[in-house]
Amino acid sequence: MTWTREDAAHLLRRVTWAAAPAAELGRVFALGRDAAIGSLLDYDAQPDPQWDNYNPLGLADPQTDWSSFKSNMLVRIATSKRPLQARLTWFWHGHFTSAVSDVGLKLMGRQLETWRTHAAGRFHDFLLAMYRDGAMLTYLGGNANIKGHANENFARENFELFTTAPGPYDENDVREAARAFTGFVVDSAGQGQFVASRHDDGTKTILGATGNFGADDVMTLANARPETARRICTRLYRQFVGERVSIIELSRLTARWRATGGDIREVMRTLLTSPAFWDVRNRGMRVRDPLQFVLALVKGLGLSWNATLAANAVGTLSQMGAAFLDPPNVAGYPDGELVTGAANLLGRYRFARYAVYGVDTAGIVARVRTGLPEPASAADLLARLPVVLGMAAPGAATRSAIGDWIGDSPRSGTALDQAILGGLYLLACSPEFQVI
Amino acid sequence: MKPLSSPRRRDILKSALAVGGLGALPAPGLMRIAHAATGGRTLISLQLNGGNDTLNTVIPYADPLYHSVRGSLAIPAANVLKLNTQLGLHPALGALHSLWSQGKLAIIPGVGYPAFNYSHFKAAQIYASGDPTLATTTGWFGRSLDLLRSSRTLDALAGLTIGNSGSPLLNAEDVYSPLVPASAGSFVLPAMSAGQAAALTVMLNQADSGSNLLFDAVLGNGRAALETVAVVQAAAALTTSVTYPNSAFGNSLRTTAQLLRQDAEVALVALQQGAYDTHKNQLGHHAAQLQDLAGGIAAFWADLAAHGLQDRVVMFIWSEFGRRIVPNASAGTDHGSAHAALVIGNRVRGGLYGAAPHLATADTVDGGNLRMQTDFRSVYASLLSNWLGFDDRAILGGTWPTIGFIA
Repeated sequence: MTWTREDAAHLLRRVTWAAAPAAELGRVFALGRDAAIGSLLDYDAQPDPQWDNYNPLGLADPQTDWSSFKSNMLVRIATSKRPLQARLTWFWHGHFTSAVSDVGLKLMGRQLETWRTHAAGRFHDFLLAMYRDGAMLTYLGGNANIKGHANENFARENFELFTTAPGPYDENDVREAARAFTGFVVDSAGQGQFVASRHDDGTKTILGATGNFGADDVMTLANARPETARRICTRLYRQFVGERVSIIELSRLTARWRATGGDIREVMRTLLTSPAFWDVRNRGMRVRDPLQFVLALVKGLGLSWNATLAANAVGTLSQMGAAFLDPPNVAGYPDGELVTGAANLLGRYRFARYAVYGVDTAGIVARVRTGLPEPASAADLLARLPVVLGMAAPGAATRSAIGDWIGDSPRSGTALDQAILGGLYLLACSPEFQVI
Repeated sequence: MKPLSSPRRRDILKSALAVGGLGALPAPGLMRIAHAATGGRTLISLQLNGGNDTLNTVIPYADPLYHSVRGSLAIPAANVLKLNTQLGLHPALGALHSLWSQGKLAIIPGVGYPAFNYSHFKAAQIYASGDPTLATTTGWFGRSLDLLRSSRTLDALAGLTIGNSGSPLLNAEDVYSPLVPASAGSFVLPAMSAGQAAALTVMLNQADSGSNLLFDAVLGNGRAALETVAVVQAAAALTTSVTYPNSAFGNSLRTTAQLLRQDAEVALVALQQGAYDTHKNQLGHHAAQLQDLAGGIAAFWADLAAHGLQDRVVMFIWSEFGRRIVPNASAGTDHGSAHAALVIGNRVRGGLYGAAPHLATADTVDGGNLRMQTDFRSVYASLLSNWLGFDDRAILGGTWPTIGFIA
């Protein structure tokens, strides 16, 4: 199988935040395909001091000030030395969702660690940990679910969104599972604790099995259903390959799931080595979600994170349809076409303007110029600038629009600097940069 | 029923139009729409987000069963704003009760569809699409705009969503309706030179790929942004003497009124309000949501009156489901079934339409949920046909009896 620099860029765009900077792309390309996948996926031995630093921006009150908390978390996610783990952590945030505005900073911080710990682990272990997670117990009312008239909120979403999806359960299963989930509270450390006196220890019938079930039993029953493997594998496929799920590819993923006992890392390895992942017809077919847009642009421009940049990113993400760590509901963040609304795109353009012109124009220009002749023609710029941003080559219409703006005569000096900045701005706003 | 559309039909429809054919679209309907679209009427859809507790909104205060079953969650009869000897509104809904007294509020207390879905997302998709089989991806507003567009040039603000992300109501085969933020002041192009703006315009006006629907959505929505920023900014600069509640909903209604004043072609608006998923500690939280709702509508209605726009607007208020009759043990209510839909307007014939659901166990569905009394598609057909003059059968994919709440 061939392996090109563009293949390596595709891999980085899809499973990390960006196919940039060039040195990182070069390093991954040099590894060859399977080693490149392994270097991203087998991350446990990789030290990650960037993630381990809870206050990378050195802000005051990082544990209690909301904006400081969000900025720090954004920077940890953006700079983690385990980018695929960070991407999966973000993916699981959209799956086992809760919202910082509902659960507060402490529980949200802890939940980020839960997602990250289990990001590529066994799904069954993940389920057991999620139910005990303080943010989850708070967000879906598990901490208010006591015997008597059980609170069904978590039980329903657990089937519908976290495990099987609608199909194998009915309203009675929801009610019985809610009984089994009764009895947990959140302790002062933010951890779920079981209180036997609040638990309904009667007999329940759930998904066709009958017994004195508790929370772990429901998770085990749900995890064992083939619909759960199908649902999670489908979500991973949609996230990393595309919307139209191939039945053949899906059955390869679920077979791997069964063979490995639901090992997410091994399912990911099957997915990343599948023909569908590499098929050129599947490239450019996903909308970059708002966080991916922001982080890809910051990486492509080579900007260093500081408090102002992080605060601007967090603020603009809301306008893009993805308020950071604060999804609108239990289904997580909207994606695809729903985050390409007019106001969302204007938010992207606004962040692009700020990132290109408002942070470090001298540094951007210096970095881009190292790969450019002087004077530089429109063709020179159109060859160089997409590479800087880690984009696939834009289409003819976009190239022509930007080429016309740059003009016919070669640029040098400050005119070249302006062409570099303006060209990057237009590329960041281009339709091609919004998709991967 | 057959899906009203599939994701690929956007392309098929386009190619049909390209060769001059209109496929399955019925010609009589088109003529009706072309005529009626000049009427300058607006329909606002307002979703009470999360599943509003119908029983504590349109309250069967005279039913002893309500008080015994609801227990501490019941609203005392003395506090209810009476509609008649049986039903009354939540005490926070004073503004709506005032509209009721003026004959401008219609209440359909038992809206639903056969075989309820208790998922927020599936239920919301059913109401947005108009298809209980979940096979349809377009929304009933979006299909209305597709039909309009097939016979005339559409104003860029003919349909719009106000909020943070797109509304499935406006998903269409062919028309990209703008998403406008609740605070419209931020709906601006960032600084760019005239040359850069021209380049961006050219990029967004390139030919659709036809095969990559998401890329094409970026183009279509980007064009919608460029085409509407100026008019939205002009609207956002309009002042009013009315004070709106300081909330996202208050802001979205202020923006709606400004857009109606600025653009006579605004026809379909999708709004959301509140956090109604009251699984725990419901009483105070629910009252606060309804307070925000009523306060916003009172301000909006006054603002429309101040600018002579009341006759132009009908507001349709709905939720993805009602809530369970029996409370849970955390002083909340779990997901339910039928809900009360409200229709407000000067051209509305106030009153109750259809029976209220019964609370007796024998009359419930799915183990203790309210039974549907009125199919939601009859409500849609009435709004489409009797208010907007649209071809409801083409848009809903079938014939539904209309209800007489439009005067």
